[in-house]
Amino acid sequence: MIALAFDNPLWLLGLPLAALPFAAPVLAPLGHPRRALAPLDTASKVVSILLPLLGAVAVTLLLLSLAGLHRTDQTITREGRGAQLMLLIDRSSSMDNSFAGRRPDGAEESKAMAARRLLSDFVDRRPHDRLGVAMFSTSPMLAVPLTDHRTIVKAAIATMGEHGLAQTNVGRGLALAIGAFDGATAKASRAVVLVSDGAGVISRDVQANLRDLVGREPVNLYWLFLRTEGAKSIFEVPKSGERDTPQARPERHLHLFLQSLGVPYRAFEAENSEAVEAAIDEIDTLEARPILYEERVPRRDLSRLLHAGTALSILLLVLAKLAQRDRLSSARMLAPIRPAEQAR
Amino acid sequence: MRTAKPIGRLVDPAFWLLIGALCFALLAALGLATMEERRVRTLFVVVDLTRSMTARDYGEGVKARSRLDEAERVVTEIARKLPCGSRIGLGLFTERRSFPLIEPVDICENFPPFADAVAALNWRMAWEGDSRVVRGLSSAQELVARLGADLVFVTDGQEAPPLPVAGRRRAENPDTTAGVIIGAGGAKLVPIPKYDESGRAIGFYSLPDIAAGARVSIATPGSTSGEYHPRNNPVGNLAATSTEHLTQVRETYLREIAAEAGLGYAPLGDLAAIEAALERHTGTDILEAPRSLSPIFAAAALIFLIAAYGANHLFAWRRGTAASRAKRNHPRTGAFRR
Repeated sequence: MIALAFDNPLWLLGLPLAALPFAAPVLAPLGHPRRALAPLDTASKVVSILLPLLGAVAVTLLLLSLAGLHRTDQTITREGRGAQLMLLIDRSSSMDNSFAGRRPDGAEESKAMAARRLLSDFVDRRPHDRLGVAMFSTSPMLAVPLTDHRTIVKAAIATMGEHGLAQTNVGRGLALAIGAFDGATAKASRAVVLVSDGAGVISRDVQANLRDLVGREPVNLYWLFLRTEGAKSIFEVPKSGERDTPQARPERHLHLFLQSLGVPYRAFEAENSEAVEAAIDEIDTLEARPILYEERVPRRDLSRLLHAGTALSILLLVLAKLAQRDRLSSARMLAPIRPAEQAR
Repeated sequence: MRTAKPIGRLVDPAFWLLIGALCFALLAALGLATMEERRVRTLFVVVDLTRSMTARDYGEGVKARSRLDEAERVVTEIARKLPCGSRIGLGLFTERRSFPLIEPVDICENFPPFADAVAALNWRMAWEGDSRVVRGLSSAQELVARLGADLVFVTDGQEAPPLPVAGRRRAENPDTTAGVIIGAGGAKLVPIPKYDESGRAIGFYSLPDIAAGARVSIATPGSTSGEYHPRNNPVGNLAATSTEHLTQVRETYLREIAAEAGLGYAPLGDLAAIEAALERHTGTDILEAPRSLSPIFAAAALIFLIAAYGANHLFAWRRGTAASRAKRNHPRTGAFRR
């Protein structure tokens, strides 16, 4: 379907002007002594309709172009490979530190900056995804709801360059990210990519809430754990005698909780930006299932076409005008008879 | 004088008008363009998400909308009216910090997701209940200076905890930023809704809630009224007549800090005033954008074409030498058409 629209539809009020060529001929009307001498043959009929029609077409096309006729931008649904991805980004202040747990200096970048750079590349690599960005610290924040527009997603990721907030309340962040999928496009693969450098205890009611949400809207979960040097691994089982509680080992217990949700889940542990890159590459390959994505067909201005059409019809009119002959002047070929008549 | 060659074409106005129409139509089809200067802005909108912004004072009765709803509507409107090439970003303010959600992006390209993001703003995003407007404002000014944008700060000016008796800190005036403060809320005092842990409305804030929130530690034993203490109880004993638990737009206060911070001020409900304030207080970049000349040529072609038809009709009697003699003899030349 071609959707057409006008910028200044008021010009269309001038459309009755297109009837003008039918009322006023472009060729000069000339008197003729006897109409019967010029019978209305087929060629004359065609010309007498074509000439005003050409004029009407020219006037109409000009008015349409002045009214700003254009094909509107539209979206076409196509199938590609990708996913619906919510990026859930930890904005707690610890992300401002480097992987070594220090304030970043010139040589090493902070975890937030590394994640920002790599996530931004990731967004560039996946042209068909629908992406959204949620952030969390003490409270969850939805920065960009799921969208096809890449630049705004990258603009939201770019805010990771600013200082983070206070705490890491990962439970509510997850609830926000999982809840951010609209039910409309259930066929596509949905995934939440959690990027954090730590975890907090998820309270019992938030846990129940998450189980409920995941039960209703199954999502694939990826946890990119940016491990600070010296921090305990999420996969490491505590030795006997070590405390194994959510308070003592929140990351390990978040991992156990996410495993228990009953949805596809993978955790990646990264101690440096190379490992982050490898993990992102893996998510890239895992989240490539058929997805219906919308391709935007930009607005197309039709004025060039209209003007070309106008120029052509006016050119034909000019040619017709050039072909115009003064019939009386050819009738003057009878002149030799007339002096005789006058002389009589 | 009678001639045998076709006559009149070169003196026929209709012919020349048609030629003119053809020339202009060809010029229009060429798609010539001139460079035009477009004034674009880079704005960064910071919306106050503290509790008082959930007070409903836009509209009456059940249809009343909260200040936040109105702020979302107005911010979307501002974004819609920006000329193409302008950029706009989004952030939120609560406690004493302004926090970015989206760095400035091209608004024409990203309007739908930006509008979605604005609509998704929610008081639950606020990580703390405090609302220290002056601090939040200076944090927002630092933020926009780093992002290279001009500030649009939407707040109702409700300080929580209330301003200390000792007086407030002055708003900072960095010389690098420009922008406006947009005051949300009505002139009438309305109660501030109170929510429980899971976000259910459980009534409204009372004066003791506000007084308790302002204290850093419990009051010293024996002082039930909460005497003034510079650190522990900076607001002192809130009088029973105090209206700190109610909220209205603190317009004089906001104008005051706007003046101190070098910003403009406009009320939220008045889009024209906001645009005027943006015009005065935010900088513009000049962007060269092509502007097509085709409409001008097309209009000229239309005028010539219609004139060609009109001329033929009106001046037909001028044509033809055969007519000229008759014209001389005939007093009613205008009526004599060939």
